[in-house]
Amino acid sequence: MKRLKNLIILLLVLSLTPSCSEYLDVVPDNTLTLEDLFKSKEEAWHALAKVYSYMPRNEQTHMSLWTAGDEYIGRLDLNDNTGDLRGIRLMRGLQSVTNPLLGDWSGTNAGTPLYAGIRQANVFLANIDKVPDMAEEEKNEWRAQVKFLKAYYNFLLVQKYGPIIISEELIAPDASKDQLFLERTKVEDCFDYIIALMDEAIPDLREKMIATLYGQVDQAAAKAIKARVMLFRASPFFNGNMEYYGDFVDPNGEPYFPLEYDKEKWKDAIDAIEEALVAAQTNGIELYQYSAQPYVFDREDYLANTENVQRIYDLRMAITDPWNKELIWGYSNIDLYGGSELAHSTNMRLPEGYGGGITNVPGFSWQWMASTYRMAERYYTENGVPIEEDLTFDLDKKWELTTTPGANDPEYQELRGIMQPGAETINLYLNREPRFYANLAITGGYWRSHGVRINTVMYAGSHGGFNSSQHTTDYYETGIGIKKFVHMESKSGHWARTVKYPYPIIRLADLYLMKAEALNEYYDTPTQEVYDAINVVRERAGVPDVESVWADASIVKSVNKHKTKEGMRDIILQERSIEFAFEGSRFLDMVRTKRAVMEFSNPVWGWDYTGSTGANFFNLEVKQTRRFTITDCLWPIDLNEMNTNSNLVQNPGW
Amino acid sequence: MKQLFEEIQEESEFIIFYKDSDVDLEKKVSVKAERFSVERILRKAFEGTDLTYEITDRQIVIIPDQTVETEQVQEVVQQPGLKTVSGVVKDDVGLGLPGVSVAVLGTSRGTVTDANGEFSMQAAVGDTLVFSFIGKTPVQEVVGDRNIFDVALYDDDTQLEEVQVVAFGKQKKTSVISSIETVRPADLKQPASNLTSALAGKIPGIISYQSTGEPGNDNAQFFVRGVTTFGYKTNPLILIDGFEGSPDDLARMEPDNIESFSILKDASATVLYGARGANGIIIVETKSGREGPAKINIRLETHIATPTKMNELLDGVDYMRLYNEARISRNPLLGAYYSEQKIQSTVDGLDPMIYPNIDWYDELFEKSTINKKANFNVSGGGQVATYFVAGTIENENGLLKVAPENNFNNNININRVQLRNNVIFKLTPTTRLDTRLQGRFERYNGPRTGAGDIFRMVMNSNPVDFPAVYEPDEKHAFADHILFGNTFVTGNLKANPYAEMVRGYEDRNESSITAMATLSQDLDFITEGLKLQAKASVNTWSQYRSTRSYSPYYYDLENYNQITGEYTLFALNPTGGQAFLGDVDPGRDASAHYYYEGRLNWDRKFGLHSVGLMTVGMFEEYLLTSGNSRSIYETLPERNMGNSGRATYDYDNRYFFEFAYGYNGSEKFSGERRFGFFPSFGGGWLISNESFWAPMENIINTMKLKATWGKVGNDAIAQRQDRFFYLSDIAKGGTGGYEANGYRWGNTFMTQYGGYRINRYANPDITWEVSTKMNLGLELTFLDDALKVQADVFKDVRDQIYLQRQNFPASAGLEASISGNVGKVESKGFEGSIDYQYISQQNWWITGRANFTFATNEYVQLDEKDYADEYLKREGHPINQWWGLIAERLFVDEAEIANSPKQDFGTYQAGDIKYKDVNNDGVVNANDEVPLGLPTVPEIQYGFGLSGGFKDFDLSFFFQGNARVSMFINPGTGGDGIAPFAGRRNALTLIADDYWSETNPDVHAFWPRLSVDPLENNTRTSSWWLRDGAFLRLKTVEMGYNLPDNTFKKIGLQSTRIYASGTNLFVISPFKLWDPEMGRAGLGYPPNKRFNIGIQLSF
Repeated sequence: MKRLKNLIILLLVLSLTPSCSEYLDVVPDNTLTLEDLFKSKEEAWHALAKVYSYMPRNEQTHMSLWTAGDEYIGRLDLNDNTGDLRGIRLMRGLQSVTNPLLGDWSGTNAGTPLYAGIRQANVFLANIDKVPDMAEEEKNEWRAQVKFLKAYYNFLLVQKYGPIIISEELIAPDASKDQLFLERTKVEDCFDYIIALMDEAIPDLREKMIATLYGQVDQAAAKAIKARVMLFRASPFFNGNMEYYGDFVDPNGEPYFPLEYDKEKWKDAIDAIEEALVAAQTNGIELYQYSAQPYVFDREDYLANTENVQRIYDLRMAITDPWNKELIWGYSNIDLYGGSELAHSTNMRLPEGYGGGITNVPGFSWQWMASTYRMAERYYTENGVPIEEDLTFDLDKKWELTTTPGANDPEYQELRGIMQPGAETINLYLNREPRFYANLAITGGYWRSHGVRINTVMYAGSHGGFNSSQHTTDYYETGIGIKKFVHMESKSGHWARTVKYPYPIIRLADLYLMKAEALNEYYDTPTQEVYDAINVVRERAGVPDVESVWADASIVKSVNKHKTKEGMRDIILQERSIEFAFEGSRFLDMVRTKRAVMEFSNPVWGWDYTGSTGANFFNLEVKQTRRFTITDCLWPIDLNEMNTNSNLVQNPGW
Repeated sequence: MKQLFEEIQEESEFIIFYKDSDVDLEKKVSVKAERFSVERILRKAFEGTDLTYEITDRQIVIIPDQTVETEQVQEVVQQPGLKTVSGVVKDDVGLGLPGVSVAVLGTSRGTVTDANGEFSMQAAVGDTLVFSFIGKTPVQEVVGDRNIFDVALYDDDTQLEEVQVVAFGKQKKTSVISSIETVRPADLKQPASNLTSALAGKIPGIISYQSTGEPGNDNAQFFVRGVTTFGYKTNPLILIDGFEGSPDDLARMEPDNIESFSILKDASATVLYGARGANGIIIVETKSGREGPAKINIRLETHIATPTKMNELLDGVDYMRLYNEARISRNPLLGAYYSEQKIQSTVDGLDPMIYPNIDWYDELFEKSTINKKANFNVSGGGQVATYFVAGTIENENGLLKVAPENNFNNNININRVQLRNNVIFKLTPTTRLDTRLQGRFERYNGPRTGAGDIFRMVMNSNPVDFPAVYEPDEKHAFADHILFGNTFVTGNLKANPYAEMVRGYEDRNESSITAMATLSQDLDFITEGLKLQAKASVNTWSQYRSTRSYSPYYYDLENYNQITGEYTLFALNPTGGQAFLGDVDPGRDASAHYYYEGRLNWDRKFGLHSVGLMTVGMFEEYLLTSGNSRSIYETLPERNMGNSGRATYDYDNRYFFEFAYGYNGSEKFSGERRFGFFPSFGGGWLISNESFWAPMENIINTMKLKATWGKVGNDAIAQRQDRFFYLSDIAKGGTGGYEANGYRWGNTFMTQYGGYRINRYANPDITWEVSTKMNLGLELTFLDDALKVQADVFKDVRDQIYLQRQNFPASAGLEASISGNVGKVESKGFEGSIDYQYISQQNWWITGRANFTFATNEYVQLDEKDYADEYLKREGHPINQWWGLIAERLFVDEAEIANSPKQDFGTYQAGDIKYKDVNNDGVVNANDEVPLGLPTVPEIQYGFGLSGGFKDFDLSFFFQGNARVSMFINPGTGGDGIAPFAGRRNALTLIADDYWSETNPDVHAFWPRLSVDPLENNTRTSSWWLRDGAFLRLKTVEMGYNLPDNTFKKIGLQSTRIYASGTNLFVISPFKLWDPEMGRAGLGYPPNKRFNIGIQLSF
């Protein structure tokens, strides 16, 4: 008993003096820290990918800025849902300070937090030296890519916000107020900063990107983007915009925007474009031509109408043929498995009777992003001029029903593979330029996807049209579909059945049209150089040279419009709107040329999709009202940020 | 002599009875007694007196020595009319009570009841018999004609509370100066199998509410003295027999097994648990056995549970009409969605396959369910050991209907078994080994989707789009699967609630085992009153789940013939379905918890001075292995270590002082931030023990004032995976559908790197959240201690609250938010309780109690943004208050919209909510949000009730109420949002009855202009959706009857009580939509009303 007691007491006393060393250190060594990402090349790839990850997701239907402008109209029933179709909501005057749509400043409402991207670039630049198993040359090349991206992200911010905050410092969590609450930098200084950074980056970039890394920046891409930066810098919105931003001044009363127009900026742009064109040429970049065999369903028409069908293929496949020769820089970070890309929201549902009994599943062919009626009008006539300029085009009868020539009619020969024979359609849909037929799904035309060629009727209950028994919400609101993003082989139902391609960030045609524009702006009157530049693009599109058709009084109403700077400006901008239709160019073009307010305040029109006959269908109705003001040209800085940083001056009107 | 008796009572478990006239209390005796037995002390003390004693069990009766007082004895004998009286003394549950002293008032005559509680003695007519027992209220009976006296002794709270549970031990009640509330376990009894749901309104200082009635998932939220921080952990520490338990552990406690239930509220009480005590502590002690023969207690209960209130949704016809209206109302272009033909056919009740009109609540849920519970315990013991063994078996069911198509049960069905085994061994006269084993084993069977979600799905479906199940058409006559109805909405299949309910089931096994051993040793041989104790506890908990389900095949109508009624179906997911129960979706979670403490106590009395010293060292480790967690940080153990101590001093039972400290370390912090030192001080004054109080003593029997001040730490300031603040947290790879943090390159898109994500930037300065608590208390008793009043005022300043810093611009480009110990909250409040107890000698008794808690708080500091407008700042406002827009009314017309400030929340039209432009900047946006209403956690909670008994009957009821609380209806679509029609969901009838329309342009209608999508303009948090969440509910009613003693005596039954009770019978509230206690979560599993019958047997 006594012994037991002593033992217990001993144990208890021992228990009061426990050893406590290290008991609270529970974290093992070797947990991942930021520095670890630069301990080997393989790890550093992640850091590089991280910097790239801030590229805007323009391929995503609901997150894309491409749907801003006046080319797209989405499902009306999704329109009031704040998570959807943000680009379109922007055009409806629904931009919000509380939670800005596609706000890249703070990453609000599907915007990309670009300042975070810039910070990641700085982190990368500060640490890449530490990677032991990389050659210096390779580090330099990566460093150059990151510098370029950093410059590009700044440029994207300037596009939306004008004066932005530029900081080279890596803000630490314990930063002082002076480091944190910075003021906005003048637009001119922003551009200088961006250009200097790009210039610094370009020499170290790879001349031409290797295939396994397509999507990374090479010299051609960097130079092309720099050319675009120069173009924006010279454009009237950013160059001498007294009209909009004469009163937009910093706390010291100095204007944020350069208020004096400087023509020499166009010269800088020309130089940059020329340089970019040389780099493109060096890399073998050229306008796209479809070079493979046409698909079986087109064989016969191709043989009979080779030139026209080939052209349709050239134009139709220019985007969707993956990594084709025209692409200078493509967005490669596509959502391989998802179904929310523009490619899928625009794709037509496989109608019954096609595809050898394949079940009609909606996945990956949602069939509800439609073209506006206005876009359908904007395409040129076959003469390469706007429909209202073309004397051979009967504007008064454009909405009248007509029938395409029969299959055996000689007149049909050049329509083979373009319009169905003996099909009901309207005059507006006839005698248009090839890009019209290549890009739009219309009554009497064809839609090539799912590996088949669909005769599109677009009326309710027929191919391409509204079908309430199949799906009450998936239909083209205007009765006009968009083919540009749908590869002919893309099928529905599963991600692996769609053909993936990079969404173009910049492609060669852009450089040509930029060149035409810059030259036109720089010189007092258009020169042959201007016409040559635009004609390269027109030639591929299958429309006549600009100087020949606009001089032809039998074709155009405003003869010789191309001979004045202003007239040529209109021609070039319309050429851009057509060539880059649906590719996100028009919205920014109209903003930078100060035409956005005028162009974008028109309602969206479309056909009555519920009409099941031509007579019922071809009635124009207003689908959506739009409101775009000068205020909307610059994004608002979100309230949250304004409340946080009292040194910020909000953009005018917000 | 008086002092001697007191000391004996104090130091031992003995209680001394004597007659004043027999004992000369003022007689000076000198007893130098160390380690002497009581008998020896008494013998020594009585030397030279005419006194002797009798010891029976724990009672000492002091009587004049018979040998000396022969004369007196003769006198007694000579008294006429002396007769034998006998009877049984029982306790409140009807068990015979051994060792009760039965004495004749004013004499030394008396006896003690035997093991069965029976007694027999001589008494004269006119004598008053006094039945007394420690811890019970004494009963007096006058001897008249009766010879048989059957007496019941009830717990005397005033005496029971003589000893009070405090942190790491017990103290004499009078000397406790910290704010500690003790609850009688009987008050926690209720039919629900969830102890936490009984807390509301029962305990001053606790704020509690229960927002769902889903079995197995119905823990109430509870806070000690309200919410005092906006940090991560806001709920109190739960200690069960001194070992930290989870809210589930508390919820499953069986009140019959609880010895005491206490809430520690102020710094003095909680500082010893410095790492976790800042939010208050709930201490539960389980019962242990007493020496004596085995006592068996059995309780059987069964109850019916039925929802307190169900929501009312539109039927098919109204739904379709209103849906069409909503669609056209916003955009006439969209046209009607449901054709008039479909509506008319539904009105006519045509083929339900083609024109379904389903009440999904009816389709899915039963009106009520029956639950059963049995609890037994046996206790007793001998010289070597005492034991308390208890077992509970429970069966709980949910309201879900079981599909006849399946052979498995998709309803919630919980079978729970609990075992408790508390054995205390007396190893040596000074050594005790206390072992406690507890196991809880739970078999859960339930739906694949949570039952609450199934309730919510009803709102998300509508009555007309499809029937739950299609009867096969010709083509599918031989289909091997159920043809569930469905349809596409915005590209996705709708949820068919029936399919979701019956498509599978979850099978879950959970077990929790706790073992504790406490070895205590008296070290009187070193110095008197020194005790050493070591304790080790371990708990392992594990749960594994298997979810078995099939993927339903969904069908939609393809064609139907209106004349013949024939229809064809087409498959919506011909390749997506799976008719058989496929691979199991497993889940495994487990945790382990280790605790160790060593403790040294020293209590000693020197004359009028009492001194107590205590020090305790502890280590604690908590391991969690969550089946799914891949985070290195989440899976690392949590550890605490520390040393705490307390010094108490009291002088003459009048003045009390206390100092306590905690020195605690946590694995969450580093360097010098790792350990925190938390001191507390307190003092008390028992005024009624002062001599000058004597004249007052008959009016105010006791009066005590007490005050404490101290600091308490809290290291649970962030989630497990976020707790290593001194380390940065970087995760590689993307989250989300594609390379969200990385990029994909290459001609085949196959060169991809996931990038990384910074979840946290390192901050080595993060440290303890510290609460500075102040408490002032007053205790009063009146009417011979029958009426007790106590009141406390308190203040809690919570400093260094870890929070996300708001004042960090996006332009800094940081990927993760920055946090710091920068928050500060001040809480204060008042709590009080009144207890009254009256036991008449005429077989009836009555007790009443009421309590009240008021706790409010305000932000003092929180690194706010640089707001231009004062009203945007949180500082000075309560934590749980919401900010929102001020809704003026609905817009009358477009002209008014044109002339009003722009509202920055998407589209709006006439009939949508018009807000006030508070800062007059011409636009209504987030900067016009002002604090609205009251906090969403009640600031006031109160309860009151009465119990009474007459002879064998008793009746009690209890009301509970919340006040000063706001709630916001969720007008959106997610979770419990009631927005109608979005994604073709249904609508509450209330909306159909009162909404704005062109024909009913009521600018104060309940619902704005209808829409088929929720409009952000209307779903913003605003005063439009603000409601008063106060309520008063009849929480419990109970009626009981004790069967007359003899009824079952033959089979050894000592007592039998049958009872019936009801909970949540009705509620009074200005909020009528659903049960107000559900708050915002009104579409989930509603709380239950319960009707219970039970029987309690004692052997």
